[in-house]
Amino acid sequence: MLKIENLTCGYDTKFVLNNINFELYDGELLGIIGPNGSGKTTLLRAITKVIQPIRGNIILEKENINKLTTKQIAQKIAVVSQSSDIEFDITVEELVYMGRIPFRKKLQFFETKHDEEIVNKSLIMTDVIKLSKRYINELSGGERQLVYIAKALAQEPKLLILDEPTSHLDISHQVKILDLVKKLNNENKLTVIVVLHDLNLASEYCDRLILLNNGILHKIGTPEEVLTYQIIEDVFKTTVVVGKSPVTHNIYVYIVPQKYLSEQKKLN
Amino acid sequence: MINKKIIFYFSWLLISLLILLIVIIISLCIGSSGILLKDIINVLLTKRVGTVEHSIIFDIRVPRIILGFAVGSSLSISGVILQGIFRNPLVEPYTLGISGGAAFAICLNILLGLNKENMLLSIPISGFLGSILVLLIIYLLSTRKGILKINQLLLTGVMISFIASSLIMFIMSISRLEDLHQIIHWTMGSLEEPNLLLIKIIFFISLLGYFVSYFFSVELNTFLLGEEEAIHLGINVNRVKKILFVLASLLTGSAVSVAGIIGFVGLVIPHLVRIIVGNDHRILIICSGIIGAAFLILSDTIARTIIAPVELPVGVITGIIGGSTFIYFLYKRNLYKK
Repeated sequence: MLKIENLTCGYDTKFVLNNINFELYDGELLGIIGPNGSGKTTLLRAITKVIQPIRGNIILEKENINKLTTKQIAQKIAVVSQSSDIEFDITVEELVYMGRIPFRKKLQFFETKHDEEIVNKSLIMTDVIKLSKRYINELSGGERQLVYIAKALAQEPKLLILDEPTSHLDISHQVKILDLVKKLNNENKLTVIVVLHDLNLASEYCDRLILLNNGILHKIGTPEEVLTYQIIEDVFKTTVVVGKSPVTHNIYVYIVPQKYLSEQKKLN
Repeated sequence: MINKKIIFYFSWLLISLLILLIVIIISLCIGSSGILLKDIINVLLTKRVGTVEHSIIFDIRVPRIILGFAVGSSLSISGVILQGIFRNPLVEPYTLGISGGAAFAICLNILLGLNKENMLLSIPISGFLGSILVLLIIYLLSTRKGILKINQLLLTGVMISFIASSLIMFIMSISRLEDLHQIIHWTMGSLEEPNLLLIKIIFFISLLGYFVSYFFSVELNTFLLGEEEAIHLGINVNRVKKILFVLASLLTGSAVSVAGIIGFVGLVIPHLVRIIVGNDHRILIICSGIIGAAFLILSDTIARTIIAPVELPVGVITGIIGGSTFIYFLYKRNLYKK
């Protein structure tokens, strides 16, 4: 689906990502993790051609994205960004309809019946159809995130990219959103890249993980391979205990507060 | 849903056109000498040249109405475009210094006495050149590696606006009394323009404004979500931004060059129409243009009749009516929202 070859990119003269190589397979749910400022969002911006690579290639379905227009990319990749406030009143329905913009023809100003069907399907799939007449700025963070996912689904993408979709949300919404993403991945065979800060959510939901550190790909592999206590300590400079979830038996990372570590040192 | 939306758009389009038509009729009837509606219809149907009514309607009132339509539409559409690309509801055509550039060039023209030779065309041409010059300066200063930086554009525009007003004050302070009077009269704005060719040109530019901006209405909708979101929806943001910025500047520059600085239209009308029809640019652009035109024609009618035969500067009326109507609608909307 997507192949990143020797990717180096950044802003002006500062390199943010250095020599990144990996491949994303069809139907995979890939998580990107790493400390703040490690280049996660920059990687997503390069994949969607918001910024140009300094070196290297990004191949989307066997085509270099440099040769694709932004419209062609938008027909294949949908992005749920870290949402920001909108200064103007826009209803949920209006926003989700925007997902059909990449498919409109020249001089087509209004949506078609087909667009309407897809928008309705997306609103139902994300369970926000009851909110469709509400303004985006009136919604809670969790509802808003679901609406942005509905807009992304209206793009009928082959690859869905989510940038920290669960930050600032309570656990019920975190689970609701990632359950939905997993369902789309399993049932609709949608390939997904998701940036996550919470290592336990990453381990629970992702097939494979990429760990970025200072713009370098530190480790790629299954959650068991990436989330070891040495790697986490090396990259995040934090002591953790790595165990398994008693319910799902997936990797579970326990944090260890500094106070406890100091007491242990004194005892030793 | 789609049919409902199209019906909604066409209803508002018809309502706006109806408002414009009513205002045009009022404006044709009212003046220092009132003409009855049936006399107007009579003149329009029979086309009797040479009568007093014919001369008042076709030589005085119709050109003013056409100019009001062009200037009102241009300023409103420019306001909608700029608020859209800056994602900032407080931006208006005069924020970016384009009008400042025009005003400075015209003041300089009056000070140096260049307008004495060719009175009719010299002032608008100098105004237009001034606005184009400012447009180029802002554009070049805000473009880095071929990308138009929106925040830089706004800041540069505001600064140029300040510099231009200071220079205008400087020119006013050293002007002779008769020049000063001319400068003040111009800066207050007026739809009194004897040159028919100029009226035709600005009318054509305003129509161009309607067409070109409508062509980018869907793109402007995506801009409301932010530039990066617009890219994710397949929009060539940089190209669209450049075209729309140049278009908005041309509309503002041409309107200001002919009619002077008429405030409030570019800020208040887009807002007012937003409150009523929503933020979808597919309807917002056209309705704002038409309502802006109707608003300016009405304001001009009031300005030339309220203390006739003395004519008030139209900017005074647009400010008072525009501001108070806007507060009223804002208050009504808050009540409705609660």
